[in-house]
Amino acid sequence: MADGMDSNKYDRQLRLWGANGQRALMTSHILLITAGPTGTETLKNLVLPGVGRFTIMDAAKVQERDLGNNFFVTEEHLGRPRAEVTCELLLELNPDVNGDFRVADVASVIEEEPQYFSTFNLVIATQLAAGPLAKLAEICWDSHTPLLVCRSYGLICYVRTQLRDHCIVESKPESDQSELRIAAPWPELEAHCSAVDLAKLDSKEHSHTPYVVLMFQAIAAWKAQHGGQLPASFEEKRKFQQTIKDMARDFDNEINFQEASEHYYKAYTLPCVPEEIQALLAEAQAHDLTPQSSSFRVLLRALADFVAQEGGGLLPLPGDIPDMTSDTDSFVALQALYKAKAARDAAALATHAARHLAALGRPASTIAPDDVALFAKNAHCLLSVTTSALKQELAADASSSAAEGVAEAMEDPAELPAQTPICWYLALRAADRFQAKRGRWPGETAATIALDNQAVWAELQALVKELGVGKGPLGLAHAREVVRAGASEVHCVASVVGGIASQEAVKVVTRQYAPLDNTAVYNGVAGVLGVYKL
Amino acid sequence: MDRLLLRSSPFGAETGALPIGEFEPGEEASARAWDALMGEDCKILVIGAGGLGCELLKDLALSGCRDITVIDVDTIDLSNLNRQFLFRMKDVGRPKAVVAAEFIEKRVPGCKVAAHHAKIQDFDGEFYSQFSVVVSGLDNVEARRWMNSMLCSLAEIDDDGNVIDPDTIIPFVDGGTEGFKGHARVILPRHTSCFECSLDLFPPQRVFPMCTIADTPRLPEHCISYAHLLQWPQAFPDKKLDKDDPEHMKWIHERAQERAEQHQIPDVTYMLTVGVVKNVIPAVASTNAVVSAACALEVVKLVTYAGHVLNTYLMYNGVTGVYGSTMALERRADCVVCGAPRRTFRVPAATTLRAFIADHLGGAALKIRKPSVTHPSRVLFMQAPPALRAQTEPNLDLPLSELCADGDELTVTDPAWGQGTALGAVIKFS
Ligand SMILES: [Zn+2]
Repeated sequence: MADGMDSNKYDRQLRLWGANGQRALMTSHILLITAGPTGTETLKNLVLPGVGRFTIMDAAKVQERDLGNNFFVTEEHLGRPRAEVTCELLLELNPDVNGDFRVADVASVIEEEPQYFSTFNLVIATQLAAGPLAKLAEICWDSHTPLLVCRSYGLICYVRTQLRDHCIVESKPESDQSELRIAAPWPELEAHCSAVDLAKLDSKEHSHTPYVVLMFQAIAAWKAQHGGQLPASFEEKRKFQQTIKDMARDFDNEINFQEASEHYYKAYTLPCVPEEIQALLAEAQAHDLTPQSSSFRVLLRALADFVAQEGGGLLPLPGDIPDMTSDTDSFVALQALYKAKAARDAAALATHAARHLAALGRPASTIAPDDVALFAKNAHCLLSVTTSALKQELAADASSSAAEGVAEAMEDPAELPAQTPICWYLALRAADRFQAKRGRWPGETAATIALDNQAVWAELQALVKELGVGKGPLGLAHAREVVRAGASEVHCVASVVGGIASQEAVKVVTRQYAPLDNTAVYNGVAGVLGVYKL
Repeated sequence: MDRLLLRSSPFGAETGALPIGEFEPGEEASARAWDALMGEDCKILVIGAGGLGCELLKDLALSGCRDITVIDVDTIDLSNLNRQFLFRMKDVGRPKAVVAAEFIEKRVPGCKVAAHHAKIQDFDGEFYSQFSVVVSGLDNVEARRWMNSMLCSLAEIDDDGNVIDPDTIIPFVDGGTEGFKGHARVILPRHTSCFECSLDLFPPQRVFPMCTIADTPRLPEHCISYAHLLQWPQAFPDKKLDKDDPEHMKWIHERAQERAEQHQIPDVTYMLTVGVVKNVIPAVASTNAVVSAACALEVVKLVTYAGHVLNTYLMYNGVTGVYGSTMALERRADCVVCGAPRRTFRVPAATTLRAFIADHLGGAALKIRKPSVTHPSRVLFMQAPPALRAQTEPNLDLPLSELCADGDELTVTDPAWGQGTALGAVIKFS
């Protein structure tokens, strides 16, 4: 495979993100802050699939307690810098990966070299106290650097993404994305479908005519009988479905007619530009391109032109059709028709893009033809993700972006309401407040447990009051569980958060699949996962 | 882990939806929770040393488990290295269980890992009954069915199906992944929904109709299946296709390409050929990590009672954003494996044994694919050994009325289950 990629070693993952994704992964540079188990487990899952390069930042030395929960340190490493040791053992996992380390206190780097962080494709901050985290998040927000925040505390953990204008072409939604345009055919499709004379076909041909042709003829006949109107009411739609069934010679044995009847709504559904894409296009038109504009922005602008001109209000045709009962020749002919139209649309998009590039003084070759085609094919599912800023979430009043998400989450309790993951998010926030005031974590020593329980409970009540939400199922018990954990990092919990975070990291750096927006909380007390927009 | 076992919790297992025991923390090694995990009576069995297995071993070792056993029949392949992090290039070809065990023992001093390069079916009930918890990271439904039925058969029950001795319940924790999706679940045999109760969660593998493959190919997959299922047996009637032999796969790929060209079907690639023939399931390190760690944490809670036990199924989906859902799977009263071991069938007396097997045992409800059937007085049909099969095969075409009397109970067994599981099929003529 191209780029020296070991296609066999990476075979199982290439089936998800393809050569494009692998190339992006292999050219990215990721910063990991803090090399405890949460950090090393996250990084492990990025080294294995072949991330290009990583840097570990950690000021700590390997201590006795690291041996019990971190797989990437051993007894012989006691006393050595944790960043160095974990870097060494992580690199053992995959010879394709480059890694280095920096023995430094992240808080001072934040103060002294804020520009350092924007040199990475992604910053993964693990187990960072609220103070430095807030500053780091602001630096990343201002420099548009993607940030993943990972936290593991007792039996609870969470991942938080902070993304700004993060563009994704291959969002790969799970639902069926094919667009058949039966109700609004282009001339070639219309000619192809109307040329078939069903009455003249023998029984084998009749039962192997693709449902696209059947539905085209059914809807054409309907329109002829209904003054050019498509079925609109529920009643009419049902009737239309029946006309498809009636077209069959032997419905029970003609699978193609059964498929047409099953997908009948596709016959009268008019193609349109999804609302999310309309918003993207409107934004693209509202801002002039600059010489620094990304390929994504240039193509988005070109897409707006395409929709207004050649597209006649529609996006480029994706070009793929689903499998359907058919003889080989009919299917192949139909497929070729869709592909040819998609190629024409992509070419038109490329012309617009070249014009915009020329106006910016950049050659048309800046954007490869394959990338234009990929963009055109995915035009209906493009994403530009902007999460809330961590700063907004942490605002200490009802203006916090978390207020709504928390209130909503409280309305949707788990089987045991006290185990709703949002409760644990709030409990960890309370522990953070405790730590910020006292400079230590609650429950760090056994002697203060009873007092700490009360103090964390007070913080928890103050927090929900600030957010302007009710207490819901929150109680002293949540405070007690947080205090009992005493900021311990349990390996299994760190490994859960490391798994979730690394998966999101791959999605972010490959710019494939929709990323988490914006917080996933895993409640290890009861095995419940909650996802919230905070 | 120390703090969580030494300090009392408001959320011990006794307060959860599946209150299996009371959390008893304490400062000393004599405290129940501590001893249950780190003491010598805690023996954990890990099934599979692949993507999930490697993670499970690491997670359990770093949770404090001291006595772990791992079973895996496979050897290490190059395509494992993107996620099975206990293996290196130099280990390719060696048994997974052995290499994984060696690595864990070296990295986590004090943790003992016994390795078996074997099939789970090679061991009996006595072997399995020594473990506190069994946790599996398997990639196929059949091995899970077998393991599940084995553990269900070990739980001692009375005639009504109630557990007599709770100590004979060996919890079964099962993890599985496919691409960015996965699940973790807890099965308390004969107490919660078992694997067989919810077989429907696993959709059947996608298969293409033979007439499409032979007569009306449209997709590259159809061309590949044609080369695999029709052309290979024709060209090499005496040679079984070795899916791991690149020469064999190259042959399939070339034939598939020829057929695709002939029909103008695009996109037959070598990668797709391997994917279709071997039914390759995408796999990544990250999903394995999430699922295994969730499973391992359940193992820890199951032995220490230091939290609520998962009730009973957690699904994870990272394809679009992150989505997770926890649900209590329902136990089926008529489950062959964990429910009432007897079931009544009302059938016409003229039904042949073959039709009875196909319609009533092999159907969607029971999915008993290779049953053997015994009457209290004699064997009616046996799948194996070949001699017995040949001898009993003629019975398949006899009507039931010639094989048993109205109200007789036949015993049905199936290789999908372990030896302890059998269905009592009471035949009532309608
Ligand atoms: Zn069952």
